[in-house]
Amino acid sequence: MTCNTCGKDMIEGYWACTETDYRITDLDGNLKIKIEEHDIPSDDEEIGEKTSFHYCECGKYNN
Amino acid sequence: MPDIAEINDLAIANIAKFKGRTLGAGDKVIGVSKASAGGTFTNYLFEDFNLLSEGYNSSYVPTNWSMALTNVIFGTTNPDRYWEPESGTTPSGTTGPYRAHGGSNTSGVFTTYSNTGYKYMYTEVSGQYNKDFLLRTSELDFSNALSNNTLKLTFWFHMGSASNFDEFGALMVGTSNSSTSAADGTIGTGFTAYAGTQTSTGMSIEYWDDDSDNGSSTSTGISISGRQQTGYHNSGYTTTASYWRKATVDLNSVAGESSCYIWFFARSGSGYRGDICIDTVSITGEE
Repeated sequence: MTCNTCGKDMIEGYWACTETDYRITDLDGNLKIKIEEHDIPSDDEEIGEKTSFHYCECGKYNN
Repeated sequence: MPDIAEINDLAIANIAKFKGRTLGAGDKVIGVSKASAGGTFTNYLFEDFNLLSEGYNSSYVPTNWSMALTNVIFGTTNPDRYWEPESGTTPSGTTGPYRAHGGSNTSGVFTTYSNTGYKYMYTEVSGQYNKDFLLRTSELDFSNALSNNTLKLTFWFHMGSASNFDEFGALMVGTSNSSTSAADGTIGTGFTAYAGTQTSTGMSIEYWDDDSDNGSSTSTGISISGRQQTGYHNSGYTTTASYWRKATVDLNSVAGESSCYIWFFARSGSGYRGDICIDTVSITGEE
């Protein structure tokens, strides 16, 4: 899978929901792209959830 | 079409079809029909939400639309939450579309525009479970619309999530002649009290119910309830399982009405994997 913007290979990572924001991380959990902040209660079931996702180092993730 | 009284008063020579002709003894006029009934299609509404800014506020609606929390769903019940304009994905990772609908009236594919491009409206349900969302169109004038079952509301919806979860509530459509209430009233069909996770009345919706992306399979009901698409934004753009689906509402019951509002009511379900999304809303009918 290549990036429609820059043509480089997409990188496997996670789409994650933390206590403060939605973000894309690498497989080690390091922040790569912050999607947006949220105000979901800290005890909500979504906090801590993550799902496999592909992103590009150019910053694109939805292509 | 003129009524019989008008026909009776009309000199035969002034009817275009007979002008210049003379009825002879024994000739009979055996039928009168209007030369062309309807045939002119009018676009009463088209809204793709693309010009909206993103944000959570009652002002993030198209011109003359409304989602004020003081509007009424039914009885004295007000909505809890606003719909939101969004582009690209919704924030949660396992629900929502890949992008806005592509704008075609025949396909549920995504727009080719970037993540900051075209918009749609959705209900953000993260942390907002069993809540009501209410969105109203501008005032619509159907006074010249014919009651011949051509007046239709069409919109595209996305109610998709990971296949092992179904945390959706319901999406419903109502009509009223009030700018502040979707309650069942004097025209069309609005909403009345809850029945489970949805209201007990609403306009009948015919909607695509499988991944074929061609409308070959449909369901009909007063709501679209539960998970529909088994694909969501992580599924990418190449699978029809995550495509938008089409819904149609027959507005024949409000044809001839000079003041009408269409309401989109959504109720969230029990979990965050339940974003309800709509896009490319249009109304056409014959005059």
